[in-house]
Amino acid sequence: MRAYFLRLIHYVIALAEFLQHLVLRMPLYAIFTPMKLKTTASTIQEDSKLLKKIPSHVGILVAEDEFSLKDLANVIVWSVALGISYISVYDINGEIKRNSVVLQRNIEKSKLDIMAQDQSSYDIQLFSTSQPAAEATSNSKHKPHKADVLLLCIEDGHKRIVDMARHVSQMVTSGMLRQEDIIPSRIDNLFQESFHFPDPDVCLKFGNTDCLFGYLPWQMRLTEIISMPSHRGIGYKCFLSSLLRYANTSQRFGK
Amino acid sequence: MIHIQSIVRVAVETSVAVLHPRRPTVSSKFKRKIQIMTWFPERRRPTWLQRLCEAILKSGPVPQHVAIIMDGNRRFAVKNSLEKCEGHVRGFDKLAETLEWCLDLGITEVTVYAFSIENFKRSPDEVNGLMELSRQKFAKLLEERNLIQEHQVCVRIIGDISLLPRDLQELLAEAVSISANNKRAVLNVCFAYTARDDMCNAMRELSSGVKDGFIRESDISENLLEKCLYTSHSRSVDLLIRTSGEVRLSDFLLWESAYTCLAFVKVLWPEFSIWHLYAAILHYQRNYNKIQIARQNLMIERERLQRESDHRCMLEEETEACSKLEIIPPGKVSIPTTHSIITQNKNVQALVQQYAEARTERENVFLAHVYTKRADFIKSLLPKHPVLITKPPVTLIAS
Repeated sequence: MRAYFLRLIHYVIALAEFLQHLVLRMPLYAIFTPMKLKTTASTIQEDSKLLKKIPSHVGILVAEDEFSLKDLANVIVWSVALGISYISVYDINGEIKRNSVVLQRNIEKSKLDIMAQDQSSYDIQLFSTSQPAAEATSNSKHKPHKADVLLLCIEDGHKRIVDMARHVSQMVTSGMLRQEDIIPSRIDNLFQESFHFPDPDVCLKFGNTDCLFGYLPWQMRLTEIISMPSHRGIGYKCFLSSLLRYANTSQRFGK
Repeated sequence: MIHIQSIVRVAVETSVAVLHPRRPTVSSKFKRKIQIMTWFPERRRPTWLQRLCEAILKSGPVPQHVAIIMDGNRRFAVKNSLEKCEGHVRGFDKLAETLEWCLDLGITEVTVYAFSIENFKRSPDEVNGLMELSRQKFAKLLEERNLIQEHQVCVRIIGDISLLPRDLQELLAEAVSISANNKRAVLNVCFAYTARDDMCNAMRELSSGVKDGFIRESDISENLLEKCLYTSHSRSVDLLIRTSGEVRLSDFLLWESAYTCLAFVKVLWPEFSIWHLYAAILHYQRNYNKIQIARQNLMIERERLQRESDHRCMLEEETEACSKLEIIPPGKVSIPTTHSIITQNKNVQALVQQYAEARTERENVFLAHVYTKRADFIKSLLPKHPVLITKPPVTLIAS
C-alpha cells in the first residue's frame, strides 16, 4: 500500500517535471516557428558578428527516433552561412548516414532557399568515414565558402578507439612507435590524421534524453554540450541562440 | 516550480550557515594547520521532508554509480571573498556530506574528479595548496581507518599517481590498500587523471600485451580495452553530475560516460545541496528507459561483433594451418581437396567456440598480469614494515 502510494507521488512529480520542461521550452516553438520571416544569407552573416567566437566544428547529435532531413539540412546550411567549415551529424543507428543522398538533396534545396543568388559560391560536401570525400573538383576549389559535412554513427565512437589501439600495437610491434610515445598528444595527432576534422567545439544535442549515446568519446573532451528538445521544426532563432550560448562561455583548460 | 526553487535556496542558505560557522581564514601558503573536517561527519538526522523525498525517489530506479565533477570551488571563493584554497576546503567538506547523502539513497559507488593532469598548469601556489589539502585529507582518512572499516568503504584512486609528490603517493597507496576488501560502498577518487591519458595508458598495456605475446592484436576489443582502464573494477556510470553550470566533460570519464545520464547543475559545488541531488536523480529516472534500451542494444552489438571476429580469426587460423600442410608435402595433389572436405565437415560452430575459449583464456591471463602489476605498484608505495606500525607491542615482546 505504502509502496503504491510512494510510486504514485513519484509519477506525479515526474509528470510535473515533464510539464515544467514543456512549458519552459514551449515559447521557442510558439514564437519562432510560425514566423515566416525569410532567413537569408545576408541576415545570417550579419548575425555572425554577434558571436564572440565562431566554432570551427559543430557536431549535431540527433538523439531522437524520428528524423527530419529537411530540418537537418536547414541547420547545416545556417551553420555554413555563419562561416562554420566543419559540421558532423551523428545518430546512433546511422539512419542519417544511410540516407545521405536524400540529405544532400535537401541541402541543395535549402541552400537555394537561403542563399538565393549566392548559392553557387557555397560548396557543401557530404562524406562519412567509410566513404571519404571524393577529390575536390577543380570547380569547387574556387568557391569561397567550402564546408565538409561528416556523417557519423555508433561505429565512429568506441570502435574507432579500439581500431586505434590495434593500429598502435601494430606500430609498437613493428618498432615504428615506442611504448612511451603512446601519450594523448601523439595519439590525438593520429586521430586527426584519420579524421581530417578538428575536435567539435560545440555539440548541438537534439532530443529529450540527456545522454551522449556513444558520441565521439575521444574527440568530445572539451566540447560544449547544448541540448535542445527536438530538431524537427527548429527555427533559425533557436539555432542562433544555442550558438550564442556557446560563444559566451569561456574555457579555462584546467587552469 | 517556484516553491521548489525557494525551498532549495532556503535549504542551501541554512546548510551553509549551519555547516560553516565562521571558519578561520587560511593563509595562501596553506601552511597553518587548518581544522580538518572528518570524512565521516556525524549523521545529521534527515528532516521528515527529506525522508519523504528519499522514500519517493527510491520507488523508482536509483543510480548505482554516480560520477561528480566538483566544479566551482574557486568561483565560490571569489563570490564570497574567500581565499582560493578556502574554496577548495569547502569543496572537500561538501564531498564528505554528499557521500553520506548518496549512501542514504542507496548509491553505492561515487566517482569524483579531484585533480586533473591539466590542473598542474595552475599557479604553483594553488597546486601546492591542493596537494597539501589532499595530504591532510588522506592523513585524516588514515587516522579514521576504524571508521572506514566500520562503514565498509572501499577507496580507489583513478589516475596516474606517479605524477604526484612521493609522500602523497604513499598516503594514497595506504588508503587504497587498507580499504581494498571493503564491499559496501566504493569511492573512486580521480587524481592526476584525464580520460585521454587513461585511454592511452590502456593502449600502452594492450600494445605491450601484444608485444609480449599475452594476447593477439585481433583480441583487442571494446571489452578488453575497457578492462585495461583505471575504472575497470567499477560498474558502469549511471549518472554524471557537473556543477557550476558548465556543459562539458573536460576530459572526465569520456569512455565510460557514453551511455550515462548527464546532469548539469547551475550551482557552484560548495553550494550543492541534497535537493540538487534529489533533482539530479529525478532527472536520471526520467531518462532511465531510453538509456537502458541503448545499453542493451550496445551489449548485443558488442557480442555480435565479438562472435564475428572470433569466426573470422578462426577461419584465418584454419586456412593458415591448411596452407602449411599444403607446403609440407609438395606434389601431392590429393591433400588440399581432402582437407577442404575435412574443414567443411568439421563443425564450424564448435571451432568458433573453441577459438573463443582460447581467446578468453589469453585475455584472462593478460588481465591478471596487468592487475598484478598495478597492485604491485601500490604495494611498493606502502611503508616497509606495516607490522611494526600496527602492532608495536608484539614485536617488542618478540625481540
